[in-house]
Amino acid sequence: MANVDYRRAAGYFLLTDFIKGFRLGLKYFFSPKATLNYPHEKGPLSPRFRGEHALRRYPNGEERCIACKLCEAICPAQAITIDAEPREDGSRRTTRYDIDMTKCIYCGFCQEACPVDAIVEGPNFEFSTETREELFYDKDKLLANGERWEAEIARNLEMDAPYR
Amino acid sequence: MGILNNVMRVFTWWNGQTLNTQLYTWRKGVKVGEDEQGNRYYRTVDGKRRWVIFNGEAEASRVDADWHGWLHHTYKEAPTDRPLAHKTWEKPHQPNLSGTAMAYAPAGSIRRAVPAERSDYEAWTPE
Repeated sequence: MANVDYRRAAGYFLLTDFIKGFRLGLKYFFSPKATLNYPHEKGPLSPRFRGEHALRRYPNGEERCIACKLCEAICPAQAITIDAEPREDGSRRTTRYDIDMTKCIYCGFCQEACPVDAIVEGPNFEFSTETREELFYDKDKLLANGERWEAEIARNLEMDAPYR
Repeated sequence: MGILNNVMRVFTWWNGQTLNTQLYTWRKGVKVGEDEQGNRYYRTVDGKRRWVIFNGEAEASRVDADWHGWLHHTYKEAPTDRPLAHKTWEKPHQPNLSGTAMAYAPAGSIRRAVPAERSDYEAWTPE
């Protein structure tokens, strides 16, 4: 008769592996969950969070962008296209400000480069689309984003200011 | 409507709230405020969790800029305690309209009534 490991055999017959596994499963079943109830509950965001772009305006409603093209120059993905012309009143403004959001890598260099805080990456990240062309933002879309998110963008910049 | 709505709430998650979410809100929720769309905002007593119960479709982008930062734990004070400064030229909030007729279309899109002329090529015309 070959050597029989009775201890191990008893373990097999008494289903110890099954019980151990079941215990582990129950432990995680009753422990607090790390998941969020998403559409209702959302994860923490920093004031520096870099989400959807927006073009801001001055408090009097004048658009900030002066078409210096620093953002276009620094953009590592070359996602920004700007055309500029003097406006009727002689001030230098963009006639075209396009961001290809499919190229953008959300590095935040554009908002760092901007001398007048015109282009910013706002707190919104829920701008997914069903078609690709909806991500080719033009100036009107970016200004509209600024007009919809200005309150929170301003609060975030105010909170981040002591660290800059 | 009433019965169908309740049946839908058992089997779907996007009609307002699920039954489990409703139970959790009833047990643990402390109401913090309500926005213009009628979405109600809650927190737990210890303030660790913050959540929103949507008035209608449970669509995450319906949270407006006032409540967005509080809901995302960016700052502690709810806009009911410390309102955000608003400018006169601000526009009302819009949810993500992708997939609807109101969705954004760039100038050259064929979904526009009059798409912008293409200038990057010349169309060939037969003799």
